[in-house]
Amino acid sequence: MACAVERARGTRDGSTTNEKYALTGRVDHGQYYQLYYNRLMALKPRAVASARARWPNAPVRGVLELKEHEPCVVVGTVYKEMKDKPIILDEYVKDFEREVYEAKRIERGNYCREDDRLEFEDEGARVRVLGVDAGRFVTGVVCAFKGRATSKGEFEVEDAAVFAPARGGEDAVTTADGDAKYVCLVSGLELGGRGSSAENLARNQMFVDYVTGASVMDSDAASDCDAAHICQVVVAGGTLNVNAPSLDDSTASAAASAAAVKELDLMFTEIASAVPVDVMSGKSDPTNKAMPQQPLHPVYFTEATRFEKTMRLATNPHEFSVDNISFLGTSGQNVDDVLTFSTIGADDVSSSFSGDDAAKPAVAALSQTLRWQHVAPSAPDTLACYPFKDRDPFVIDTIPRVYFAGCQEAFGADRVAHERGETLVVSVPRFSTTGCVVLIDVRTLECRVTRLA
Amino acid sequence: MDDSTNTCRRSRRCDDGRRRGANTTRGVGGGVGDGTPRGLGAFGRFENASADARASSAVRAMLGEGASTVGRSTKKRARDGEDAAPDLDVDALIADAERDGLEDARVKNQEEYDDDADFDEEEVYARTGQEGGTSVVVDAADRANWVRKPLKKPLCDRSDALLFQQLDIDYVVDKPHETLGSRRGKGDAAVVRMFGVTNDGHSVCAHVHGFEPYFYASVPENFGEADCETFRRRLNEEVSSARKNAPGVFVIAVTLERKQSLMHYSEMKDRLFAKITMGLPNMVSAARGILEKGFSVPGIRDGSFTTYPTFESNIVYALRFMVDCGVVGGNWIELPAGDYKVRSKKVSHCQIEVDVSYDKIISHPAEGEYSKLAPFRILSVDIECAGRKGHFPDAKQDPVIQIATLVTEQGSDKPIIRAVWTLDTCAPIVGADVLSFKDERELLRNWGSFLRGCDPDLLIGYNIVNFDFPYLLDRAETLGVADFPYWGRMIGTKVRMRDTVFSSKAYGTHESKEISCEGRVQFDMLRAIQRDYKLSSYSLNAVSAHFLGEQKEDVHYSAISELQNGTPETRRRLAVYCLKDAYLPQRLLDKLMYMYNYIEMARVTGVPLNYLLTRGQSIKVMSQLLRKARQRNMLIPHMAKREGGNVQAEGGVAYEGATVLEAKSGYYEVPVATLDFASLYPSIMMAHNLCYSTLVPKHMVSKLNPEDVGTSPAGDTFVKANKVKGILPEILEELLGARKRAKADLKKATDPFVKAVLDGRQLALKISANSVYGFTGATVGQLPCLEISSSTTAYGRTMIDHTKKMVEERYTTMNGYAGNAEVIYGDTDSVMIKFNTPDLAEAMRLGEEAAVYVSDTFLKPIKLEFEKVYWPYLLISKKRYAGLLWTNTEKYDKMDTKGIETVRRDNCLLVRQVVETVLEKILKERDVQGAVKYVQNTIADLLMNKLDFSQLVITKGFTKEADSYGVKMAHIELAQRMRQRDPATAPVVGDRIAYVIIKAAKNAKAYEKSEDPIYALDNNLPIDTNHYLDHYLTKPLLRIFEPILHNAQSVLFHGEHTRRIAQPTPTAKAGGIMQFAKIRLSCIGCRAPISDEKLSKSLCKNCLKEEAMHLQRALASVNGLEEDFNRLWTQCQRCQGSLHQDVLCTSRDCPIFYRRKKVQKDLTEAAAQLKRFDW
Repeated sequence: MACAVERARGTRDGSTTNEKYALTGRVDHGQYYQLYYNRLMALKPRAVASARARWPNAPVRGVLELKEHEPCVVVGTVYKEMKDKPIILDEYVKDFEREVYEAKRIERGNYCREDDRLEFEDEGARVRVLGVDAGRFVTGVVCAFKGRATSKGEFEVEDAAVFAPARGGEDAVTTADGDAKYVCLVSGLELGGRGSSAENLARNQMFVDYVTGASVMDSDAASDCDAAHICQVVVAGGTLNVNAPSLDDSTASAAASAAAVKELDLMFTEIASAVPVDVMSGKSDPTNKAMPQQPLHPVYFTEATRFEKTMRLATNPHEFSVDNISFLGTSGQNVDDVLTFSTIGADDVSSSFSGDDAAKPAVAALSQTLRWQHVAPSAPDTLACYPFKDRDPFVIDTIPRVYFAGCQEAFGADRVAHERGETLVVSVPRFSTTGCVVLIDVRTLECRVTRLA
Repeated sequence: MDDSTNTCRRSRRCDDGRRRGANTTRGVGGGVGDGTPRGLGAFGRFENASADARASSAVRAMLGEGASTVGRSTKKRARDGEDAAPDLDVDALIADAERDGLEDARVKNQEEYDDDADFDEEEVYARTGQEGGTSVVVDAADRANWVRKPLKKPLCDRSDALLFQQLDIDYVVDKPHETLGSRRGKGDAAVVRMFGVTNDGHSVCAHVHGFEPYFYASVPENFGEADCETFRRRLNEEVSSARKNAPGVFVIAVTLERKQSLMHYSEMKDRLFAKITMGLPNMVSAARGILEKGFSVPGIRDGSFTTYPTFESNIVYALRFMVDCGVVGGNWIELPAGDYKVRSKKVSHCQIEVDVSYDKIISHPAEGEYSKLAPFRILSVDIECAGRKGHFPDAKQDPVIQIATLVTEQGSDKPIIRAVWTLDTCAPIVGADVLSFKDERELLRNWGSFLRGCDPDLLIGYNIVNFDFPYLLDRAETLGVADFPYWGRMIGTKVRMRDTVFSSKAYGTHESKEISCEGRVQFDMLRAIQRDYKLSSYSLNAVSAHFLGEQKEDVHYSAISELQNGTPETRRRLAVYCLKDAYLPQRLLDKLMYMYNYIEMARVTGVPLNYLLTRGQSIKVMSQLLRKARQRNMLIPHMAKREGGNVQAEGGVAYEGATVLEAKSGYYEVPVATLDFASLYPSIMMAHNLCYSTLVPKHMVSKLNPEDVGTSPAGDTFVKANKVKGILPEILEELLGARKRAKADLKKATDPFVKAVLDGRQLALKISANSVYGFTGATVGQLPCLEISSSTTAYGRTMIDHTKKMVEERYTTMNGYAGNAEVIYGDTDSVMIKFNTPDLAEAMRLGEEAAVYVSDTFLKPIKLEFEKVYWPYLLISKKRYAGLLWTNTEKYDKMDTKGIETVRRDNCLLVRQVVETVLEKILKERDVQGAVKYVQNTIADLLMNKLDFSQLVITKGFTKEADSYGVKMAHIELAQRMRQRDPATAPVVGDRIAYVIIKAAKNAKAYEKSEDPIYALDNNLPIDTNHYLDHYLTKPLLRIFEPILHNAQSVLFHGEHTRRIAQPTPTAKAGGIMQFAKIRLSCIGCRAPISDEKLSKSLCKNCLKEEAMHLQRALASVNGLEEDFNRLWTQCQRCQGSLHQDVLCTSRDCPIFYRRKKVQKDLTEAAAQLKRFDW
């Protein structure tokens, strides 16, 4: 067994395409309209092509060219008008009842209402859309609708929406030949927070031992054998959970967070010495909060970063490939936001779903963003992001074979069929609460969860 | 075009020509017209002036009509009456000098009109035809609804009664009607016109004939019937000579009547009066002047020089008509079948035009089915003009580029027309019609033509009277669009515009434009809201944020030109913005239920709708007084105006006003019950029968039985109601009785429409009742009577004292109560009592009981009512207090504050927020320590420069007056400095200037420390935080805390929290020492200069050991800013209603305007600092 471990580990043919997420040069904060505009420009031609294929007889019209009652197709960006959407202007309204109402709303965790309405906008103008369930959309989605303009100047939709088709994505041959080769996805170690409890510290060590093969030893348990075939570890966010020390902070808490960082550095040093590891930034990590999150600063990992070849600090989203299998993943903020501002939920997964029921909403939301061909359409409307001027890096240009989101409640996986075949969609659970890691076999794209207890 | 049907009324040549230029009467139009009258067919039909033939025919119709009538009609628009009008209405005082100046200007204009009239019509036709061809009218949807529905069948005056709701009443001077007009006068007569709408939405113009202007003069008892004719002839001579010996019959008749004067109680039943009937309304004042100055009449008092006091000689003719015919503003009028005649040849654009004699009108009181509102058309408008850089748009130079118009029918919630007229092409807008024109003249023409065709009853908008309408009219004049300013309902009558000064005690002095637009009521929402609500800002943005709860995108006028000069899409963007702005006034009108409230007010007080916005309170009281006096056979004396009364002194009340009990300031933690006098002044006037007609002259007092009179604490005597009831008490009784009924009905009502009407009514009644007292006290008013007003307040004062005494004597521990009651404060009509019980329910019970106990000692209907309890209560000084208001024992209703700096518009937001929060903490949370802590934290944040920047911004208006003051003012100085920096973006007169106070050189004057917030942000200019602390925060906070903390000053403003301060480093651009400074990197951790930049650009050697921690700190600030940036800028993107277009809004009224700018800057800086960590 030991020799098998040696063979697989450390050998993977992998590269990233994260340049588009990098904020380099002068970071100038302008406005958001260019981001929306670039998004529309990127996705519109593709959506038009889809629409032509589906409704060959209906002309494609701009919103400004709509003629009353003429059946036609419009392509543009969705804007969802929501009465309950929290807005910054509320800060200026002091009202007791509002506070109570707010509290209830937050408790509910979802801001959707029956009377949410959709507006639809192309580069020319905006029109109200009727006949569509607003709950199925979030602001920022680009799509095509077929319908006709009413005499009141609204657009009555007659068929389901059509999105940009999937592009690219090598149809890599899946084969069961040879030994399994796993990519291990983990997220939410949360050192400095939950992850630093005594019980979790022990489990963290188990995880390190597991991926480095230290626990293999003499055991021949199936899972341990699998561990030996891990060729890449990806930490999908949530590695640290430390509060930024403020000026008034006591030295105690500063020391605590310094200890957590050190602990993590040691963990990654151990892992990186044995297997390549990508560490993505996540919601609670000490980096910038707005999407795309920049890689964690190497200063946190003075030891681990010595392993230049195997220790990689990555952006969120993170786009990479392992043995020609393309991966795209986030640390989960995109999924959380879609779930907060739409009614997409557990019922929307396909029959091929596997995993914990609790993961169904996340998998459904993630699958939907794949169909929308956009990693985070609700950014910037409800999800903070950088106001890019020249591009929308969140547009999915090349459809990944594996698409995942970290820091979720539970494990779940589904297969989403599309123009370019099929993509494996994975919800990666938080390790600190579940003790689970996900293994994906890059030969077969089979996927399963392993619990370290 | 139908040239043959000669409908244009043959203009009459009269003496106007001669009078021109010389006479000083206002509004006498005139021209020497002997050209062939050119009749034109019914131009009521709306023509879509597109490039087709119909268009040019419509324009030709207009032009022809204009050419034939402009300058030749002598018909005179006299809405606000004869030249006597200004005398009558103090509120709408028009400075005489100004009027004379205007007169000259007007006459000059008149001559220009004549010139216009002489242009070659054929040439004009050719020109318009050609221009019609160049206009690009974008294909619009079906416009059938743009004109009013045609009548189902023609109105038959023999079999159909005509029923309509009148909205506007005015009169013209015209030839008397052949059959209906009075034949007594030899010349012209006044014809009343009523404009309105039927239940089916058809517009009506009714010409009412035969109503002659008249007034009264008191004559000696021996004046006989036989003297009447002599008197008439003599008076006629005098009037004639006053009019430069113009021949004619001015005084039509003199008859004798027995009546009573309203003024003073008199034992005499009645006295002899001469009713003097005049030929025309504007002759009344001349005759009045002669009578009051005195003249001699053979046979009367032996022909000696005699003066004759006049009565009701200053009543606007239209109001006189309404009073005599029982017509009130906005009521329903019925003309019975057979009693009126349908006009075959219309002179107005109305669908129905009839003639009727004044005595055939049936005026329905606004009750039952006649309380409804007709479906009248409301047109809301907003224009955009392309100003040049650095200048406010000027009609002489800058084009009108868009006119957005919305038309709504009263009672429906969706507009029937949404259209925008644009100069140059414009991409289509769903749900709206876009009409585009290459030529601005054509645009104006087309809109004018649309206006006539659409035939609205009401014109609304925001600041239309002082901006949009004058701009359109001036612009059309500049461009020479002669056929544009025909907006009124009378065919061929131009809109006239003049400057007025409106001055009123209640509403202050305003300069404004007055635009005559016959038959259409103008309702400027700005004016209405300014009258009815106290707001810190009246910009459309602030108003819609306040009432509709939404921010409005505000595009600066310099950005407007850029959009206009862009593409059809950018112009479309502008059009969408313009349409929104046209829709807002309509939404405000609906939201504030203005139609219901104002029509109710017009009905209750009996004045025409348009008086409500253009006149003050007194005309409303006068209207009621006239109606009541008429019923009692009484006459209202004309009081000669005091000379030399300048505007400043106007309304100055010379008697002692309401006093208040000394406030025992403090913080009360036990419940404080408040007893209020319901409608205090009206009920005093009713209880003590205070009226003109009950006032006993001093010399009469001794002659009356003391049982029958009452003497007020001010020393004036009035007879009691059992002897004779006063008119004012009667008016008040009716108003308050009606209000009671309306409130009772309101409770029962379920239909929201009915509720709206009733609520509007009860409010109107309340306001009217309260204005009666003010009317008697207005020293330069029409009928001041200080005996009444000073007696009223004197009674009020004694009642407050009386209440205090009774309460404090009864509620004592000696009498078995829990504590000794103490009246801690008394305002005009309320008394605050501390019963010294900690129990809320007990305080309420005692309050209730005390109210009844004290009320019993007052005359009816004076009543003291228990309304509320304040608990806790913070009494700062008189007229300044705050407390939690309770009306039940379960939960407080709200926090009530009075006289505390929460809404003053020239304060910065910081003060308001701090004061509000402090009061909330003290009163709601009862957490004084928390409030102190909050103040300390806020002060610390202020000194550390951590506050939201927009909280520090102060705004002040840049007005002409401010500019011309000698005194240097912070915002004016700033405007000048900004002009030096960049004339293009500097504020101009009319803008509001926003500024912050920055640190300047030592000993700098306060006005030198003002700076443009954006400039201050860009250049990191340090805020003078101490200035904010000393000048803005200290006083209001000390006022609040002094009653609570004994060492407030030292706790709040000295101590640990004031020790740390932070200041940004100014950029070199800001001048001063920074121009010479060399910037060197300093350690992010400890600010020490970095000696070895190769080692690290961010930290010094020492701090480098803790690089991770310093990095995390730097990140924390970036993260907070990133989130703010996101929420702020997505909000702007949402508010402007587009994702793909850049945010242009520059609304400085918006709370996030500066914040979003600051976050942009802070974030860019913070991100740059982060970069120094070599990432």
